[in-house]
Amino acid sequence: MLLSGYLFTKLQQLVDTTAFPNLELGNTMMIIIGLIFVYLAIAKDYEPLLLVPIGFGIVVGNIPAVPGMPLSVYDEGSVMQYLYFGVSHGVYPPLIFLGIGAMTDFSTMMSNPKLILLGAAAQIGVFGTFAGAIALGFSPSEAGAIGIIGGADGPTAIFLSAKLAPQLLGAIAVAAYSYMALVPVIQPPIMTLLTTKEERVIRMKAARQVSTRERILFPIIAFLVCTLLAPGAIVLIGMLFFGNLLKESTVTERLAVTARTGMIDVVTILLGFCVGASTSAPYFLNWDSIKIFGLGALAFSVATAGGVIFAKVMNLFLREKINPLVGAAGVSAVPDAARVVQMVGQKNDPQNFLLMHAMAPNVAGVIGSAIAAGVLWSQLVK
Amino acid sequence: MLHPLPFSVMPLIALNTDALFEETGLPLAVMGMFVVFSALLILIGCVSLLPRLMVVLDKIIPAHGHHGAQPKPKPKPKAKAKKKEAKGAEVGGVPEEIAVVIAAAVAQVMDQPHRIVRTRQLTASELAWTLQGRIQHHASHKLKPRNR
Repeated sequence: MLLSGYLFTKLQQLVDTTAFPNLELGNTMMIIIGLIFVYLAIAKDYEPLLLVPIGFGIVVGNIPAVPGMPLSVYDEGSVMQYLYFGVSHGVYPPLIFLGIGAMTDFSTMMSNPKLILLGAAAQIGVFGTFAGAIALGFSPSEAGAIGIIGGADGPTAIFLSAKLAPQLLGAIAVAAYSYMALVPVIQPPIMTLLTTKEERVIRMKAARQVSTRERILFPIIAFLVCTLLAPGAIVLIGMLFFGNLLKESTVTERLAVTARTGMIDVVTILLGFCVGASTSAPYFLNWDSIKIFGLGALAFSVATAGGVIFAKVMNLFLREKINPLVGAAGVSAVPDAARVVQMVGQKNDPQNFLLMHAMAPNVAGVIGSAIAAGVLWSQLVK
Repeated sequence: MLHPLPFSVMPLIALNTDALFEETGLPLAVMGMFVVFSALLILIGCVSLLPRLMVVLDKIIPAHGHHGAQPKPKPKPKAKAKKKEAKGAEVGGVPEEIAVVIAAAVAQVMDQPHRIVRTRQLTASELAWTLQGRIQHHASHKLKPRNR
């Protein structure tokens, strides 16, 4: 009798130290969402490099912590919180930009500079959503962080929300990365709706070859131009062009290879996992998150439409017409948006190769969204 | 007689249009777009000027290999190569067989009368088209395990 009482007490204690007593409906829902992300990545091949770390991170972040044990990213002194430091203090995004710079070839953009404007036009998604978020009752800082989702640039969205609205970081990061993964689903209907068949089959002239010297000078000149106008963009743009200089200088190939392979992979794993782990149900499941997801979809759609419409407007003045589909690549989801342009273009004309042309507004979009983030940060920081 | 509703109806989304017209609303959005366009327009100007700058720069500091190494002089065409050139018939700098293949490929793609006036070797950046085609072709019959 005494033994069974003892065993029962111990069993009770054991149950209490499991996660089950604290598991709420919200946690279960988030675990299911995390598993859907993992499923989409593995079975449907939707951005697996992002969705697997984020999806599994969501599952990890929604296992309820046992009281007294610091486990989650929000618990003081937990290992997860140390890893999350890179997200909450904006350390990881510049490192990702360094890697992106070291793998980006700006020569397509340099050979056809007018396409840079499409990267600027797509930023209407950022500022349109910023205005929409303010109308929905978010504070200007929060609206700035939400608006940058329209830049279709996960690291920039994380960087800016860490600076302007850390309380919304989880929702903004998950929305930004989810929509980036859904670029092949969101963009094609908008592109088709806004263009005619004749416009979609426009063939563009092959670009000129850019010399090594031009490619070496470009990151230095571009950095100076962008940051003198928007100093807030120094961190992101600086790392982007520094990475590009490592690549193009031809004398630091080892550093460039490290930046675009091992380093960016490590940071992507940590960033994706920590962002996922920050979506603990009590912090994530609220009305604001739903509004952020709605605004994120709006931001992506407006950015895509902005690029396509601006390309059509440019065609009114240009002798050599550009295929307006290329405008959709102005959202800076590199290289997915450019791949979508190629895909939609080839559906209409299998012999039309738009990929390299689309890479121009695509990389211009990266620069544009970093400048937009710099402007919002400098104007809205408290 | 109208009776008041027994419960108050709360709108799910309340629009705050007043905040839009404050300094940190629409004016900031417009200013932001202006800065982005200005920065990228200046960038376009700089990028467009780069080729001209290169011409001037090449005159002042001629392009050398790394660490001041002089570019290797082009090897003189050997007599053997000259003989070979004379032997095999060439059209526009490419062997006759290759020219025939190119002409056949062009005829396949063009659905109107045409004339090939020039052929040239593809540059590294242009080879990206070929690469993309190869990637697509290989991806089109990617095998997936059955248990997925």
